[in-house]
Amino acid sequence: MSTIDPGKIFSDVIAAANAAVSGDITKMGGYAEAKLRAMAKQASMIGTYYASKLIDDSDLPHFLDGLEDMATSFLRTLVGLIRIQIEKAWNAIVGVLWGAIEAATGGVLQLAKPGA
Amino acid sequence: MQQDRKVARPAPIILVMIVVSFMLSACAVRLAPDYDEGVVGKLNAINEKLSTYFVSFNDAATYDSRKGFYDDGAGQVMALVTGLKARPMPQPILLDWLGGSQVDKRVAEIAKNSAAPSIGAMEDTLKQITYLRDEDKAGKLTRAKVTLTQGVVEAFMIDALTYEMALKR
Repeated sequence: MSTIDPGKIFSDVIAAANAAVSGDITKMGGYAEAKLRAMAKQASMIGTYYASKLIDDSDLPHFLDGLEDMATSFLRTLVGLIRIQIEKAWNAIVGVLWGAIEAATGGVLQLAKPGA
Repeated sequence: MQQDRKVARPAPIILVMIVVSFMLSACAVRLAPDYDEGVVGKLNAINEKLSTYFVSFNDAATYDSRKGFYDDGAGQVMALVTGLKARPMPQPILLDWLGGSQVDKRVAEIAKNSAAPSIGAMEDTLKQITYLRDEDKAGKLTRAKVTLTQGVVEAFMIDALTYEMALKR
């Protein structure tokens, strides 16, 4: 049975949460930036095509709706990705706490592992 | 004697951690479905079909020559949407917290909605395929309209693939 060191648990929790999500957060930033650029490009193209009469007043509502759908889909996806990060971080933190308690009680207090 | 009492008393930090862990034990979460290679494979197949259409679109060709794409493409997307909707999704209370914002009702609804974002992205893709088909059938489809639609559809495909790939955890 080991003793519990709150300082070590704190640093372990931070490390576990970081390890669980840090790489994904970087990827998520790249995704968000690419999507914002794509939406800006789309808005610019709609304006250019309209000014050049390649599309007319009857086409405009459809393409503006499409732009709005792009923004909505981007937000939905971002929320979905954040939800996955929350799940990973939460379960990593809970895993560290479980491990610390089991170690401190010499395995006497066996708690169910997250996801088990 | 006093020493004995000290040994018998559990360290406060252990008590706190046990209480916290029991609280958390009810909350070990699952906020998204499992990764499904079949879904990613179907998304890639649809993406390939759409890319081929956009690259090979020719103003001079007729609706009849493209009818096969509209029928097959729409059928594939509809089948995928049905499959995604049937996939079990976790519904933890935690999602209510994510949707707690009252700043903007629509944004709050998006945050609270637990449906996989790939469902909406595929429904939006289907809407665009239907638009292309209807414009083509009416003889009003031009290269400019196809290019603008390509920008939108590519965005939806990236959304769906990004989310489905992120489920690999």
